[in-house]
Amino acid sequence: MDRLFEIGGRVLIVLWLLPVLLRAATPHYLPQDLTMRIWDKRQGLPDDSVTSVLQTRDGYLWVGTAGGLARFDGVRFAAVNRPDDRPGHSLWVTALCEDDDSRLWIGTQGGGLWCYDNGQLVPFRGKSGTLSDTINSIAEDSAGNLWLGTPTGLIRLRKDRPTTFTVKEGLPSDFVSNVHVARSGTIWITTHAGTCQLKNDKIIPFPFQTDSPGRNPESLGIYEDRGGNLWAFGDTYLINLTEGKHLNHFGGGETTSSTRIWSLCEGNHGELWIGTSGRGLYCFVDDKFLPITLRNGGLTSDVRSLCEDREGNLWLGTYGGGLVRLQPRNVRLLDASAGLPDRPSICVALNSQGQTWLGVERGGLYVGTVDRFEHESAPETAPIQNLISSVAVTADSTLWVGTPGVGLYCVQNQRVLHFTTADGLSDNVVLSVAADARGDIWIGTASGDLERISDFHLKRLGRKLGLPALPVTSILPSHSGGVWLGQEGGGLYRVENNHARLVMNSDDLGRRDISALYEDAGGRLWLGTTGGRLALLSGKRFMIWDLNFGRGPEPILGLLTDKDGDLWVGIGGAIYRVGEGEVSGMASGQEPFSAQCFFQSDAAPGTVPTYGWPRAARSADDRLWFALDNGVVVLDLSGGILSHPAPPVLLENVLVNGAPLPTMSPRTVAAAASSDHAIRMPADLFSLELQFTGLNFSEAERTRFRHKLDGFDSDWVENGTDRVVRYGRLPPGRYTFRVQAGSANGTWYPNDAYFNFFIPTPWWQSSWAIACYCLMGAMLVAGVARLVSNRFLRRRLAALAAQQAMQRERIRIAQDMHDEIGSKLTKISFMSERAITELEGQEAVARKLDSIATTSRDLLQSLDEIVWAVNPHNDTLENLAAYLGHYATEYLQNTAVECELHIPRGLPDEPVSAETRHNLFLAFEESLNNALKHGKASQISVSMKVIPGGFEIEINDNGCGFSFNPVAFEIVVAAEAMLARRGNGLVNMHQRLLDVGGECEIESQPGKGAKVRLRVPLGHLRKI
Amino acid sequence: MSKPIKVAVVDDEVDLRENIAAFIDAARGFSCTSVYSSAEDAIARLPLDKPDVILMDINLGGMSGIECVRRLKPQMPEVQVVMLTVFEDTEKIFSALTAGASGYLLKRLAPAKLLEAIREVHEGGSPMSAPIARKVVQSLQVVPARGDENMELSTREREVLDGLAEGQAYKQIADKLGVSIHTVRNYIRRIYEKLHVCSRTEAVAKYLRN
Repeated sequence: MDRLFEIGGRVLIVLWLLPVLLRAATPHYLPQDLTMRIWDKRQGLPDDSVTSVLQTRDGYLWVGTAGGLARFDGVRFAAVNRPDDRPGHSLWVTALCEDDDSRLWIGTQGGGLWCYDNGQLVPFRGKSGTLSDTINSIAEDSAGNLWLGTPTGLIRLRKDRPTTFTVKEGLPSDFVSNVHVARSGTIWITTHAGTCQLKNDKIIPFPFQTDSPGRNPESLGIYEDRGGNLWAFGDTYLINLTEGKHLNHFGGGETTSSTRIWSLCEGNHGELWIGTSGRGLYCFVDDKFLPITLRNGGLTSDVRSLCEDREGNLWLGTYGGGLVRLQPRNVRLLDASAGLPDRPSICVALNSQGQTWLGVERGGLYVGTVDRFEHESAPETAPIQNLISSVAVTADSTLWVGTPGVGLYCVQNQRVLHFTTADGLSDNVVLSVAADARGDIWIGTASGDLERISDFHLKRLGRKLGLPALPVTSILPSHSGGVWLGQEGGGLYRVENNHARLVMNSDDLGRRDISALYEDAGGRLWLGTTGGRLALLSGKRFMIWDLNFGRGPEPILGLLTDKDGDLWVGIGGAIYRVGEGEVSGMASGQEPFSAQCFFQSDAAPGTVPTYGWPRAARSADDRLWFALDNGVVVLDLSGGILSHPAPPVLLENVLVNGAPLPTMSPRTVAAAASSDHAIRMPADLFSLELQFTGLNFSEAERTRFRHKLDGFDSDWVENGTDRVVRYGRLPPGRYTFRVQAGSANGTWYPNDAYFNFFIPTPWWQSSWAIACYCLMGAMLVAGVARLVSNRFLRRRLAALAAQQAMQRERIRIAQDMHDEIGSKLTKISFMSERAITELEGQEAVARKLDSIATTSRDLLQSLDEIVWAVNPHNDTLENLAAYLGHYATEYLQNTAVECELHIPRGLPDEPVSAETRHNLFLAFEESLNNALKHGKASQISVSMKVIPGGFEIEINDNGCGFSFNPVAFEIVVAAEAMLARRGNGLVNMHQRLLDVGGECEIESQPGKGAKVRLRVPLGHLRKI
Repeated sequence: MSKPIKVAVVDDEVDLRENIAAFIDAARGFSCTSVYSSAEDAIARLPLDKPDVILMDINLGGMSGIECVRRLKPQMPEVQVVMLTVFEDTEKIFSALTAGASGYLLKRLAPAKLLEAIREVHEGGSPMSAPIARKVVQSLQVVPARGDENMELSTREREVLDGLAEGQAYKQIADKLGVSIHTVRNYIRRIYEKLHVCSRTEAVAKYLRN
């Protein structure tokens, strides 16, 4: 109870119309349960005296009070102050009117006329002179003229130009209390001295007889309803001018003199709401005045203005009592106000007369109607005043109550019968009781037996039927005879003609208890388990669904369908609705289906009793009852299902760096929020705050929001109920802020508010600036690189030039040797040979000439070697190897030595410097010479190979060999090197190779030939 | 000794040319039919002389001896051209051989050896040294076989060429292959011929491309 009264610290009172009146009247329209809520100064209302309430087209509710004007969005009151606002200087608002241009006109008492436009409240000053300080009433006609009722006459504002009508123009009195524009275009003017109409600029008096007993008649206003009826109202009378009906409901009683009808408002269903001073609020429907009285607390008796919003809530402006909302609801949790304790309810049973019995956990039985329940406390029913498990009522209102441990009770006309095991009951723990159409009672017990009582005669059936010995938790009599029966741990049976048939086995039901059974009008069986599994049995076919509404599996406590074929599921602390279309889809095997949350308990579920049957029932007047863990919930579907329109989502304010943008008025925000026009933000934006609202007046506090900044957020971000979003520094770019509202039960409404803006790139970050940086950077890098590479290239070029010059020089030398020396030497040799042939007999001269020829040929050969060594064309390993091989062949050609050569093919294309070539060649020559001359070898084998990092030539001979001590050899080599002179033979050979980074290895023993290995490094690897 | 071997000498060095011509004329079984001081003269008149062997200096004053061979060979395919060179310049010798020369002689050879070499060439022998063989191997690798059997070396020819490239003497190769030295020489000549064909084809291909 405290829970309901104290939501959000605001006063919340439930009230409804006197049921007796309603039942007697049976009008076309029955106002549903109304929930009242009051806002006053403590919640931000400027003043507790509310003089006018108006919902503008954008959806806001404007509240005019004696202490100023406020804009209300369901949650916050935004005070709209006059520009020169000072304490004690606020406006006393008397009238509100929205014109065609969505400007709001505000009439005040003593403050003149004001206009709220584009976020600004400005005083209206007529183009010719000032208007009256006090405005009683404002109305706009179809031509856009504004009509003002003032104490000094009627004023017409045509394009802001005022024209005044007074007694001179034919008004009955200068004091105009009300102006009303009828749909016909007629202006109805109510003055202190009577009513008149203004047609075609002519004032026509409209006299009628008021009915004001004991007082001076007061004319307060004329109101036209949607049916075209004109209602004139004043003090206590209400006159239907169209039909000429005089009604004076308030004329009697003691308070008559202070009673005054202030305002009329037609509701959505054609009912006329009447706000009065002294008698509070009335509903006039079908020619009957229904007072809105309170069960608890009090509704102020002074209602000055009325307004029905688009969601069907009625707003009351009261004098001194704040702003009051009366909200129709068709679902209600029965609580202390209905006389029920705050305990889980476990079972419910109804009779056809609208009487309801509710089983309360450890609280016994309560009986009553939807409005009031009484504890079943008659002395004879004492045993069932505490612990019960199941309840059933027969058509003749005989009550059957099962208990968990003391058997079964029957209450009939204050008589109580008790059935226990002594009377043949199989177990005193009764889990389920049900009454069928014939009046037979079916009883399921914990021992697993099924009993039937016909005419108070008990018969045990279970064992005979062959049911397993498991507790029977649920029994539902079928419309087609027989019963459905559910056992603990699953297993649905159909018992018919003394035969039990297993319909669904335990596995089909997930091994959980059946907690809900319902047979719909089509004969289909709906089934729910404590594990949240829903099953539909249609003929022999069944389908199953596992329900999960985001809180994991919850027990299905009740299943019902209404007259429209919608399915209602009580699950956990909530009630879900599955539309008729979805239901037929389900029946044809559709999966999944969509369910809408219709009621969600605010409280956390209490401890869940494991027993209780049945948990749901549908009354004859189409009320659905659910015994849930949080209490009993009643759905009144007689007036149809109330559906709320999607709340308009509005952007209210944009704060940039903590302050509103100077260039941005509400109108530009509104423009940005409804077009592609983008608002320019400062480049140095570091904080952006967007305030928005969703205009939902039914469940404003539970309205949730989610937002998304296109260009920044990748997905919707949920806000909860917060109505503000803040962003920090955002990168330059174009953005669209979107915000959507959602209902408490999780539906997001498709209409979103959006706001386009862009953050310009600061000049130092603009593309041309970045391009400049890039260019400068690139130029710097290029400059440095150029400098470095130039220097490097120049050095390289110089080195290459030097190298090329050297090569050219070498080629020239080779060429010169070839051309000059070579050919001349050739000539010498030929000339000598020729001379010999011409000598004829001078042997001594001939020998000398022959010597010249031989010498010159030898010289040519030496020259050949030099040329080869000098020529840079030969600077490759391939050429070197080939040349050495060729040389060996040539050298040994004319000797008796057998030469064996092994030159590997495919030698790597490694450059060999002229120096290396030359030295290797000379060492090779030396070693061949040694083998031939000193070793006297008859066989020489030369093999060449590439070794890691170098090239090796191995010369083997079979000559006489020599004694060789490597250590001593090293010493000699070192000594020669120290003396910086060339030795001879082996030392020389070794020295030559050392000079080019190579080495010479000698193995020899006297008489066993010699082995010489010459190694030179190749490529970059200078070390062998 | 039925017919003397008719030899023509092309050399721009007048002394050398006359000396060689005199040597050849003096030798039995040889006759020097003509001497030319330039390649241009030789191209114009040699086809009329129809010598058996031409001794061609590589470095002539105008057109080189190699170019001269390249132009003469198609006109007189039966003539054997022996290049004369002072030094063993492998590059040039190889170019000459691919141009159509059958062998080369060093000018420093003793006259007797010179005559011997001429005779050998005339009898179909084509001397091939290891450096030249290695060049040939490289060249045939660079110009891959184009499906023309004429240009592809037979297994035996390749074995001979490989042996030469590895530095083996003719005799060693003959022993290894179990053939006579004469056969080895035959193989070598055939290798030369294929080298000529190959280089000619290459020239044609180049011509067509241009």
